[in-house]
Amino acid sequence: MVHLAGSFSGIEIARRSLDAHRTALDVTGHNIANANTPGYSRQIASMSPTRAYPVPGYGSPNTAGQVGTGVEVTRIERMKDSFIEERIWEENQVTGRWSEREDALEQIELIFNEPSESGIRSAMDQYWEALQELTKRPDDLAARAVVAERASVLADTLQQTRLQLTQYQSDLDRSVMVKVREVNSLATQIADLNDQIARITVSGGRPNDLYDQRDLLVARLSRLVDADVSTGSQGMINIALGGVSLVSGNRASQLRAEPDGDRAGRVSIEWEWTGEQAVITNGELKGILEIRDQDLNYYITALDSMALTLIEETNRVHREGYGLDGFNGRNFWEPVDTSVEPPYGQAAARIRVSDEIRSDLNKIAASASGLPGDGSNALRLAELKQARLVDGTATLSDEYASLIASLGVASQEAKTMVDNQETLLNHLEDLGGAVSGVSLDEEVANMIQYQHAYNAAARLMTTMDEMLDVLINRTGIVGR
Amino acid sequence: MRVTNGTLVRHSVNNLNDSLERLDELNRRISTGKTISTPSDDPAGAATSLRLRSSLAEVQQYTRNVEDSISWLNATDSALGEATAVLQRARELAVQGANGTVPDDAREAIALEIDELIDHLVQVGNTFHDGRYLFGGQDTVTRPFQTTGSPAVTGVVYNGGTEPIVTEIGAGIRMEMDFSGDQVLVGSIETLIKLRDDLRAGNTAELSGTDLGALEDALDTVLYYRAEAGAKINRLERTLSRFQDLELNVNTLISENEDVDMAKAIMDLKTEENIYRAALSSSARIIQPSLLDFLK
Repeated sequence: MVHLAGSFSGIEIARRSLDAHRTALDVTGHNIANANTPGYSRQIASMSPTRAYPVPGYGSPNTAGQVGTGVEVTRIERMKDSFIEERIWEENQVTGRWSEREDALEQIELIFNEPSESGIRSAMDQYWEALQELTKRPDDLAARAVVAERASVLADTLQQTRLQLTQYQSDLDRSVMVKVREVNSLATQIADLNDQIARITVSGGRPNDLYDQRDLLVARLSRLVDADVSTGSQGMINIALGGVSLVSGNRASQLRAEPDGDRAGRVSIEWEWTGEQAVITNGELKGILEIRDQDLNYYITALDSMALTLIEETNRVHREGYGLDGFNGRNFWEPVDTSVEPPYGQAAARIRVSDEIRSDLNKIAASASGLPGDGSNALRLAELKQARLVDGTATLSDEYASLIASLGVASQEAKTMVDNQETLLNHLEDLGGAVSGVSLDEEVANMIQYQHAYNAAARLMTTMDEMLDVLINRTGIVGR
Repeated sequence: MRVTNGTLVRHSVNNLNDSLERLDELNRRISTGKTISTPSDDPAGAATSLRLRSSLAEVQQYTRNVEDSISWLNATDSALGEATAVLQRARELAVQGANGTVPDDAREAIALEIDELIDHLVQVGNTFHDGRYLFGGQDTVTRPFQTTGSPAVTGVVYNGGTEPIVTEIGAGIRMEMDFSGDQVLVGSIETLIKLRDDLRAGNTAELSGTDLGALEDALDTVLYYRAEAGAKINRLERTLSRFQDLELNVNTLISENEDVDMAKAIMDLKTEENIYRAALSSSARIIQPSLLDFLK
């Protein structure tokens, strides 16, 4: 059998091995360098044997069989489980939404500051107490002063709480604008990466690191909104938001957050090019919008409703009673016009003791008969505490306690959801990490392996070299 | 499952953080002594807390109302005691004066003393206690008893209110705190006036007949109201005692609902501290070594 691969083919085999193992070492080095890079997926130099010789064909020589010709790195593989990555993106959306809810509800709990001795409950109880004292000393100016004072404190507490809630709505608006800018920025960057990836893919390359970077951006985006990712051509991806395209190949749409006159100046999110409302159903933005538009409005409305009930019922009883000047028909609280801001007239913001009463405490109608020592109307006012004023079934105190309980439940729910999501995300990251994570031990072991192979290849080359030396310089020189 | 260094570190950090979260919560509980700091710690407990604190405020207010009522009724009882003494003296004098053998000037002396007794009784009727007239009903600013006639009193007019002062001593439970003068004392005063007039006139038949009878009736009336006052005071004192128990119970409930079991919390803290230290030690051991340490 003739050795047909040519005299120098051994050197070529050695050279190919040196080449391949150098490449492999480079890849290992790249992995080790990026062991802590966020979003990095480890890479593997895929080696396969080069085509054996001879190639089967009509004119091929008759030899003992296929002879191998060495090794080459066919491609550099990126180890990534896309399915797990996509699951992570989905769960990020849920986590984002509940995480914003958790933070916001905690904030609302702090605003209400219950249970405590400085919240609305305490102010209300002290107001009822002052009325009870007035019952016993209806003609005592000091007792009247205390009633007016405690009523003012109650009004202030209600107003202050409501104000903090509405201010929080404004703060959330700012948060919305910041996050919309982030979404826009991420969309632009992703489109940009799409562009670069397409160029490289078209010319046959595998832009592994660019894929990693893009995945990282999509993960951040999915935390903010419910980004719907689909594969495009040439390695690009498309992202849709609420059915409208956010990223299409190398083009990114932009969102706009504008104060909306229709919704009391609250910021609403629109697509910049069409002006249509953006539909966002998950992610941090959804969480913020939910809190701002639903939860906070619920608590503000509840306060308004309670305040209005207190004002109207107190005034009703107060008008039937007489002040020390012998006149009846007066209001205790300034009446609230509910036609201006239906249905409760922002009562918790407007509640205050009437100017008439504040200027002359004698006008507080403690008497039912007109006699100064008659405190029975004050008693009727005090008994409103136990009266089922809310829908005929609950007292004001019950209604408030129930409001606080529902706040507690909502907040607790958000915390539980966030905890659960974090556990789930941790698990998914573990699964992802099992595929993509760099294990330094592994890389070091590979390094040793490649190093040995490299050394052996170098040794092979030396051997071939010496053999050729014998052939070229020392063969056929007998008698020289 | 393939575990990388990154995974190890992430797990360690997460677990350490979880432990710190628990330590933080235990620290908060021990520092504040409260299990419920926000409604989300225990929503039902928070609602209960609001209700209990509201109840406590109510009980304390009713207690004050009852104490005020007792004070008022005690003053009433004292005044009625004085009135009783006056009427008893009047009866002694009436018996003396009814005796036909008493000379005119002696009867005149008795009549003068009756004048004094009338003034005294009017004064009792006009007792001013704690900023109000004791027997004026709801008209607390007008002097209830106004006498007519000078220098000798010939009649008395009651100018006070007729409706009693009412206080709440429990949820929806009202109690009348006073008696108005027209029921209690007008009759007595008028009886004394007639007695004095009869003494001056020497109507011994009247004196020993209708006048003495009227005096007995007057004494009975005052005694009746004194007994009423006494009965109300008894009821109020029992109520007060009940409220004291109730206040204690509500405070106990509040404590059970909101307060931390210190002993348990401290034990939990020590346990969690140990867990944290163990986690730190364990994490340190596993995240440091790698294959590089062992290769030549």
